Amino acid sequence: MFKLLFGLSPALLLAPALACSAELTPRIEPSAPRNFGYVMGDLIDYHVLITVPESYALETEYLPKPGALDEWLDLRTVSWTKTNAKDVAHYRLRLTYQVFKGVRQPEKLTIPSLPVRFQGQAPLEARTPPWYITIAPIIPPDIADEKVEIRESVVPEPLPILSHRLRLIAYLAGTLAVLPLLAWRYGKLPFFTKTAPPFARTMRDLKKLSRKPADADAYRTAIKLLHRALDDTAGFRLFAGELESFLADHPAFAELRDELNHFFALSRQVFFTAPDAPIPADSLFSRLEALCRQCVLAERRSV
Amino acid sequence: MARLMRMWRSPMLIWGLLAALLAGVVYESYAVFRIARQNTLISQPERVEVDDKTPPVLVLAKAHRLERSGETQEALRLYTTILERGDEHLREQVHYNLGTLYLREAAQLWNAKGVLEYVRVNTLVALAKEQLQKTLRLNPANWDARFNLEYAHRITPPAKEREKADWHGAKPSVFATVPTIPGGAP
Repeated sequence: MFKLLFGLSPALLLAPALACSAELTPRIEPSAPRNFGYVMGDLIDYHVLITVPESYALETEYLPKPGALDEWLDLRTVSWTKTNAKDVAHYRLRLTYQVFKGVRQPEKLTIPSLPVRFQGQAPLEARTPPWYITIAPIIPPDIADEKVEIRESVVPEPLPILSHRLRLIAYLAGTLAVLPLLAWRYGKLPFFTKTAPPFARTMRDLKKLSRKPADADAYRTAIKLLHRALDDTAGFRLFAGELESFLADHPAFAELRDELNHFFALSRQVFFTAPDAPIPADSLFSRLEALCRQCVLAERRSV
Repeated sequence: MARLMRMWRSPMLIWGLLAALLAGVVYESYAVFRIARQNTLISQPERVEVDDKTPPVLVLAKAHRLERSGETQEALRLYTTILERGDEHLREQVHYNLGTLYLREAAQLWNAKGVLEYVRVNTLVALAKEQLQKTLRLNPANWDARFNLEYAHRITPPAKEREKADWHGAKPSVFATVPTIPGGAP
């Protein structure tokens, strides 16, 4: 009896440790969409669900690295997710292989097992189970080698240009749309003269007038044009006495107060005080143009 | 709203918009001009002058033309200069063409001379496999590369048998040649 106990004592001593390691054995459940119908170059997905006690964590740095595993097999991607359940953790490994095996007849191949390590109270290692797949040839097996026609090398295809052309058309269309807007903004759109701002319109008319011989009539016409522009801007017939209220309503013109007062004084002199008198020598047409140009700038500021 | 309207009618905004549009016109015009010129050269690769600055797609076109006209060594040289240049699609095409060129030479030798050209066929097939595998790593959906790679495996010459060791035992007893068993053991 003593001899029997003595003989069994090592086993009895190891029993708790063995029980502990049995508890720590991870549960491994492989799954794959199929194990048949693969050919040269195919990507093969292989999922493994590993269940370990919650206190164990996957050692990600020990996961298999993507690359060539064999002459005919590449590991392309390795990814994993973790979900926690009661007292256990589920690690789902997703492995993608690529097969480069050339065969003449359908063959059974073995995807080798891979080690996976976990960190916890004691190191724990699991291995994905080996997996068997069937691979078939692409080239019909009954064709002799010398009769097989190699696929031709590829001719570089023309570079795609359509998207650039479409964008160019769009930019050109946008430019063509903006140019008239800009012309209208500066009163240079002939078909929309009436919609141009009053002073911009008058500026254009003054330029036309300046090409004619400079005489008293042209000068008076220029003054009338400026009056009309002021009236259009004010919205009513503007007289000298209403200039201050006009400037209050249109503050952009306020800095032209002196020039406008001078203009009204000149207008009174030319049309009412001495209508038959010759135009004063210091009253140049260019001054009216300069005033109009300043008004155009004020007009743009006021928009 | 009035402020937005004022901004919209501001000349600065219109000028800015016009400047941006003109910049777009200039950029896209240049792109269309450049691509159209490259496409012309792709369709007429004999006009391509290869130097360090030649776009890889034009080098590929030139190499392909040389390959078709039988100048395989120059084609190989050009293919190898652009192996790691260009985008993924272009690199896939270069690896495929290079692998196919090696494979065609290996197949011609294999079908004409068989194992008499064992070393050359083996080397060419190994090079073809390497390039075609790289093609499939870049694009697993390339069925031409799959086909050619399988063919490369088919014409891989069988491994040479190792020469038998020409060993002649001089010892009178087998026990004298097995190291761990002392002579004279039962």
